[in-house]
Amino acid sequence: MPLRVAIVKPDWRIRGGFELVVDRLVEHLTTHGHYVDMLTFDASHTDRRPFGVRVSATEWDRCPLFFGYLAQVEASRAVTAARADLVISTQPPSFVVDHPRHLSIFYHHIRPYYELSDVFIRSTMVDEHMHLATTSAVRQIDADAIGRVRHVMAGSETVAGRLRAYNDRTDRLSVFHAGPNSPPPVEIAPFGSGHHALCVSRHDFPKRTELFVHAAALAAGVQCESVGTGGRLGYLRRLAGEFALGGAPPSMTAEELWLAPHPYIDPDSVHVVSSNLRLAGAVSDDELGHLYRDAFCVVAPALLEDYGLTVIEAMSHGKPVIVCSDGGHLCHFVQHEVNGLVVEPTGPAIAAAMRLLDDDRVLAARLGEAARDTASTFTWQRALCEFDDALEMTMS
Amino acid sequence: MSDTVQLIEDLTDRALGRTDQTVLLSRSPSRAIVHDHLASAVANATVDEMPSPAGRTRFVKRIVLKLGGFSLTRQRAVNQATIGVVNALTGEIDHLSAELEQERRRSAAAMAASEVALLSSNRHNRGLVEQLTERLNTLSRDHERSQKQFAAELLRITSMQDEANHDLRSLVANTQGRLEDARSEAMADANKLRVTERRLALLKEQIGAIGAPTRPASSEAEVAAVDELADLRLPDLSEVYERFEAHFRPAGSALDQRFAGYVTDLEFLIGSNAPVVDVGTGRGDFLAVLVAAGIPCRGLDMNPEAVDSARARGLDVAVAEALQYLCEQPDDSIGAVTAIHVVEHLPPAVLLELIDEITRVLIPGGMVIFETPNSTNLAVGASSFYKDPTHHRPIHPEYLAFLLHDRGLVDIATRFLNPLPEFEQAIPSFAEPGFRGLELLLDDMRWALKGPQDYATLGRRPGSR
Repeated sequence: MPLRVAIVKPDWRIRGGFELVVDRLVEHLTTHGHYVDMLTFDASHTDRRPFGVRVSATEWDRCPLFFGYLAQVEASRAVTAARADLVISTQPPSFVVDHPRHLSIFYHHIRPYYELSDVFIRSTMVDEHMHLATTSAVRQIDADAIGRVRHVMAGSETVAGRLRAYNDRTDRLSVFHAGPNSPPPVEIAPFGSGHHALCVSRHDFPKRTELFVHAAALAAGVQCESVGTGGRLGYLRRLAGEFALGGAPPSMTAEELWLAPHPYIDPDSVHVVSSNLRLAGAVSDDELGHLYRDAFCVVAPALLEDYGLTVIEAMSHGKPVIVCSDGGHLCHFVQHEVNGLVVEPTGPAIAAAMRLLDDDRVLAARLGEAARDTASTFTWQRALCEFDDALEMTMS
Repeated sequence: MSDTVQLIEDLTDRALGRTDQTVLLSRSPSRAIVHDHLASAVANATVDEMPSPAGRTRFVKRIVLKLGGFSLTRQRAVNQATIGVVNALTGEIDHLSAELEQERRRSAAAMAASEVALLSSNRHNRGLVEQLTERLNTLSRDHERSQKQFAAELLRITSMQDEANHDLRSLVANTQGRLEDARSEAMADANKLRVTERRLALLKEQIGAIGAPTRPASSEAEVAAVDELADLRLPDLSEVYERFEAHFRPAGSALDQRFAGYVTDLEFLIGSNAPVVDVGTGRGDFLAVLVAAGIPCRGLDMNPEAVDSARARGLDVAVAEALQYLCEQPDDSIGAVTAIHVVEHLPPAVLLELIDEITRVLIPGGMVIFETPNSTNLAVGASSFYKDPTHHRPIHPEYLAFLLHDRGLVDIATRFLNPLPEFEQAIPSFAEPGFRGLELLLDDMRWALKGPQDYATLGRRPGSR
């Protein structure tokens, strides 16, 4: 029986990994004869009258994330999906949409109010008092809305755990394992080969590319490549330059390196100093494929990740991945000394792991082969079966 | 900062739809009563050591006391244990009271510290106030000077305006006279045209009878000119519209049922001083349903014939133009404004002004309900909408919802109403995969042709009722 499916999605005016996932699901639904209606609303819209209360500019600037979130809650609730047989909500707070057959594809919460709440306070990027008040408010609003959703499909076991812990969502909760954005390579380089360590990540808080930069400076003999763009690229280039000229201190605290807020630096204004680290910025898919093929390991230093598609991509190229012990779901993919290495979240620990894999290519080959096996279990075929199951449970 | 926290909490309550909470405080029993009962219990605890009985029956009483002495001894033990427990509990209560008192003192100290800070701030503010007062006095003096200049200027402008008004009145009177002349001439021309047309028709018949080619049909411009002239003689629509309504929208139980949903929405006004104002109330069908439900209400309509009909049913209805009526009402005075099939009669700018006035006059938590034809139903949007000659243009449900939100109303909801009976019929399922699209297309067509004929958009003024 074809269904009229409404997908509710905040429009952030960007096309990232999640948009690609939604495209796949839409294609899957239409292929199976369902009719899909995309209901979007401008998420960057800042109507300063959430729920009819005019918020002054001063108050708004005290906690812009919270007031913006409320405006999005109101916008999500205003979406009319009465004609749909089934509603699928996507990024927060689209799950506040009210519909008797509502499936939420839940990839993440508004993270500063959940698992990253403490990190944001420690970073001094937010006022502690305000942040605690808004955290409490957002969690109340979310718990109320998530409790009404017919079925929740979490983006990973880690996210499902957070739903249980923070929102008391225990039943009608399943997990969805998205496959890689691009098909896995048919031919790969021999296991254990390669001449550089690679890090693929956005340069935003708290992806912690700073740890990779620090590790590169400490492992002078290892060639390091970093791919990605983001607000901290300029800061990273300057940091890399300082390390290249003055040498990296063997131990730097997290607060000094990645936790403290840094003013924006235009990446093009930073003089690039020649060293063993290249911060490439954005690269084409072809170039990224070459960088994966020629890497002997891939480093993923991010904090408390929800999922980690780049790790699956790296593994599909047969590369061992180095992740940090506080990497969230990354630690579900990587088993220490089985298909990669799990290390302490510090520059020296990552540097030591890179040196180990560079020096011991037999170990790198063994871990890379196991990584390739791990990646082969994450396919879109499996993901779509999980999606179909969730659809059925929502309609039942 | 604390204001912002209060704002956060307030907005969270609104997002969660929470209303004011009442805190119930438990009341502790009077310590005096406890004390009296305890004293009495202590006095009577030693039941086996009572004074020797006296009187005529003292021998019998002594025997009974001797026989039951062992039980009285036990009773004494029970009494003393109970008193002990009560004493212990009283002590615990005293301890807790002392702690509470200490906490109260601590709070009082904190409050006092805040007051000190406030006083210091007040001192600073007083200085500011003095400065501001001085500045204000200077401004007042300047203002007085400006006012005198302004009055002189106003006098000059008023006299100029009087002259201009006089000229304008002469011009209007002159133009009106010329307009009347032109209208009379046009009507005379129209009559002549009709006579000519009749002659032409007769001629055509005669020419047709002798087999000659006929004259081509009148051009569009000619037809439009005739229509325009005919418009000059249009009668007043009010009376016709009254009959039109009676013909197409019969009253009765079906209407009562139709309005039942709104009655539930408006029940919160039962017993309230803030009435429902039903704009464009017509014969008062909706108003009658509200009256029956005990909801205070009043109707407005511009059509005197309709108002007469409604008044004949004992309803409170006034001949009034809605916008003007609402402009005359004080802020926060109306419980709800309803407009059933009204907004489609209004030009967009008037609709906007109407919503602004409604937002102003509604009490906090007051409602607005607009019902209008559903333009997403093609049969309505393309055809039946135009059955009513006074309709202006269809209004899309998303635009109406947007407008209410934009003008500051909250909890906006859209309800699709009154589908045709065929809408409920199931669409046959096509098993072949290639025909699934057809099934969806049929579903679309069902909505477009037989789906909801109308929709209602509801909104609420922020604040609690």
